Amino acid sequence: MIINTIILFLRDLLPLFILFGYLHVFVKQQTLTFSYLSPALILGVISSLLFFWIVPHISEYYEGTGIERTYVALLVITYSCLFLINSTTSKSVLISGKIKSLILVAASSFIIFKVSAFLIFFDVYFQQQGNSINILIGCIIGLGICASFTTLFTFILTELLESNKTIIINICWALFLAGQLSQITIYLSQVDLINIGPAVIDFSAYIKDQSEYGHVLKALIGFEESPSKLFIFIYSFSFALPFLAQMFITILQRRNHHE
Amino acid sequence: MYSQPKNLSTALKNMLTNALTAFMYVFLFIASVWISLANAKDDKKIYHLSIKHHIFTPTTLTIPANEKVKIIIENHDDVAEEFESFDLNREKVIFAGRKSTIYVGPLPEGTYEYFGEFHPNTARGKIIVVEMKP
Repeated sequence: MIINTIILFLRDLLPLFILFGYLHVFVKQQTLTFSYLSPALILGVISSLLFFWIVPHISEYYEGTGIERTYVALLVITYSCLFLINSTTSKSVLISGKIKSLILVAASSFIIFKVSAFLIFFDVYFQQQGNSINILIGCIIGLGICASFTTLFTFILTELLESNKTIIINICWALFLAGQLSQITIYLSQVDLINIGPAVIDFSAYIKDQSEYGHVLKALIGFEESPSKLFIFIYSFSFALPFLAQMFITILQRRNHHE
Repeated sequence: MYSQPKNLSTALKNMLTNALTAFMYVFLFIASVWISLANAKDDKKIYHLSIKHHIFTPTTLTIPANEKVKIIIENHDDVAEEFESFDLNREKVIFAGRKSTIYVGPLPEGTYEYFGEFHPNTARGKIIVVEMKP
């Protein structure tokens, strides 16, 4: 039971911690981070509770495919709102009204996606076991793992930023975003909205999706033990898109500078 | 407090922000319309599974090889259950008293196990994929 609860934290809440770690580093000022992100946290948590309340009804929409469609929408919103920012985005842009709104929408969507899934599993485990001590211990350990992992991760990102190695941060950030977005292939395939075809490669001999390492890698870069061609295509495209957008913006800036 | 970058004029920055925001809205609109309107193709064979007292019925489901099929899972219990299969790469919560749809295949011949993640000791079953003559 304790292990199950810890796995839940790794699977559902670690990606959320990692997202907030990145945003924390991008905004760059600790004092600003809480006030900057607190609206997203509050909105996200309230929306998650509401979603958790109505999700049994949503699950029956579109002939029982409502949850997958909702999850896909939330992931697309999250990616669309975040792919334009990275560690080189200036603070003035990050705190400007529109970009800040996009970040808040993205963070809220991601919270709904992850926290609601967490609440569903947590609710069932709680009803099933009735062993609140084990769940509590699992929550404390799980929260401790997520918090300590994120602290260390944020520290590494900050060190990289201060060493001007922004390209490494941006690559990790793009991998994180691509990993989250490419999950849509699994949801869409599960409800027959796309055909993903057979797996191209199988990593299960090295790392299994359901292992602890698998969960951590999935949270960090969207690891999939047996990716299909479509998964790899969407992963590659969503990885490249932030860099292409950044290149486009830089070209426009240079052109304007010369003029 | 936060000064503008010197190499980027305010006008250009506003233009870029507006263009990118507009792009994002258009993208979201298209994506949301597609997600809400796209329907799964319904020419698939339909199979039914039910969950009662944390047991899947039937415990063995035989489906045709190399064909995508639709499985409707109905949960008669008063708690949610999750249909989970590592073999099929499927994972879906079926809420108490509700039914949900899942598609599997096309699959080669073989046996694919699944279980209920919330009651793995009792809720277990397998899907046997066989060649079926027309």
